[in-house]
Amino acid sequence: MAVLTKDLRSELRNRAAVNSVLLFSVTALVVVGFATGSAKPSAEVKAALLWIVLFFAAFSGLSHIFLHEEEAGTSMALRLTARPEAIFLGKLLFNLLLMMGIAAVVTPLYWVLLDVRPEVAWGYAAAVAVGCIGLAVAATIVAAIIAKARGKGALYGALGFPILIPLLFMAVDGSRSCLVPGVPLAALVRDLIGMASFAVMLVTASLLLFPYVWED
Amino acid sequence: MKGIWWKLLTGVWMTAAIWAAYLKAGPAEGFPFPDGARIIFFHVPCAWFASLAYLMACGYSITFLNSLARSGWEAARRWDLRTSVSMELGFLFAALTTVSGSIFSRLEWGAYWSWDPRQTSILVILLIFAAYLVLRGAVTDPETRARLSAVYALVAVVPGTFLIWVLPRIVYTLHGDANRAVIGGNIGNNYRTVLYGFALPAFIGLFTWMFQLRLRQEVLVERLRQP
Repeated sequence: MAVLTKDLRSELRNRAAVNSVLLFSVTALVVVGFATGSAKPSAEVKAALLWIVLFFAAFSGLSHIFLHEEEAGTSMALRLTARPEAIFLGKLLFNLLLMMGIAAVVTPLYWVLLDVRPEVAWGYAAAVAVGCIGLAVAATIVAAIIAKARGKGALYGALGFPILIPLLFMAVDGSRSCLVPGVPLAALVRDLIGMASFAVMLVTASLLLFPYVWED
Repeated sequence: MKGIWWKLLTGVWMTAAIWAAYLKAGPAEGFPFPDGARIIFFHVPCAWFASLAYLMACGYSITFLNSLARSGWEAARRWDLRTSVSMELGFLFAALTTVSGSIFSRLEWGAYWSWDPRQTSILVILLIFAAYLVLRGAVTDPETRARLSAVYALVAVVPGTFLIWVLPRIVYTLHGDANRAVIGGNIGNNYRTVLYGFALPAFIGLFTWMFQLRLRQEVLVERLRQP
C-alpha cells in the first residue's frame, strides 16, 4: 500500500507515464479509425482492433513503473525498505489503475470513432475490464524482467505477447460475442471466467517468482 | 570413445525410420494426397520433443532458482546452461514442427495456415522459445541473465500449459484427439508401428545426442571465458 501511494504521488508530480500512455492510445485509435475509414468493419474486426490498441497501449507505457526506479537509482532504497511481495503488489495496483484509466478513455472513443453498438453494454464493459486486469498483470511482471536488459522498448512487447495470447484470444472472443445480435451469453460468461482464472494464475506465478527478479 | 554404441544405433535406427517411412508404410487412405501423410513420421516426433524440451527447460529453471537460493551462483550455473540448451533445442524442433506441419496442411487441408488451435499453440510455443533466447541476448551480466531468463521461462508456463494441453482439447480442431493422429484420412496400424517403433526411438537418440553436444560446447565456452 505504501508503495502504491508513493508511486501515485510521484506520478501526480510529473505525470510522465499517464500523459505519454494516454497520448499513445488516442493516437493509435485515430490511426485505426483513419485506416478503416468508411470500410464498415465486421464485429470480428472491431473486437480484434480494440484489443490490438489496448495491447500496444499497455506495452508502450506500463514498463515505466520499474524503469523509473532503475533510472532514478532508487531501486536499492526500495529494496531495503519493503518486502518484494509488497513492492510487486504496489506496482501491480498502480498499473491496474493506469490500465483502467486507459480503458476508460479508449473504449468510449472507440465506440464513437468506429460506430460500435454493443448489444449488451455490461458484457462488453466486463470483457474489457477483466481483459485489462490480465494485461496489467502480464505487463507488470514483464516490466520487472526487462528493467535490467538492453533494448527495453522492443523487448517489452516481444516478451509480453507470447504470454498474453490465450488472454487476448478469450478477450477478442468475449467482446465479439457482445457485438453480434442474439448474444451467446454462455460463451461470454465462459470467456470471462477463463480470463479471470488466467489472471489469477499469472498473479500467483508472478508473486512466487518476483523475489528472484528483484533481489540482487 | 565412450558411449559410441548408442550413437551408432541412433544412426541405424534413423536410417531404418526413413526407410520405413518411405518404403514400408504405404500411402494413407482417404487423404487428398495420400503420400503426403508420410510427413507425420517426422512432424509428430518434432512436436513431442519441442514440448519435452519446454518441460525440461522449466524443470531446469526451477532447479536453478532453488540451487541459486541455497548454494549460490557457482553451484547453480550449470542448471542455467541446461535451461538455455533445452530452450535452443526446443526452438529448433518447434520450428521444424511448424514448417513440416504447414507443408502437410497445404497438401491435405488446402492452405499453409488455417489457424487451427494446434497450429496456434505451436506458433506461440515457438514465440516463447524465441522471446527467451532474445531476452538472454539482451542481458550482459551472466548471473542476472540466468535469473531473469529462468523467471521468464516459468512465467511462460501459464500460457504454455494452457496452449499445449488445454486449448487444443476444448476447441474444435483439424488434428484429432491425442490418440488418433490426424483427422481427414485414415491412419492405419502400420503407421503407428513406424511412428512408435522406428521414428520415436531414433528421435530420442538424436535429441539426447544434440543436447549433450550443445551442453559440452557451452561448458567449454564458459571455461574459456574464465581467466
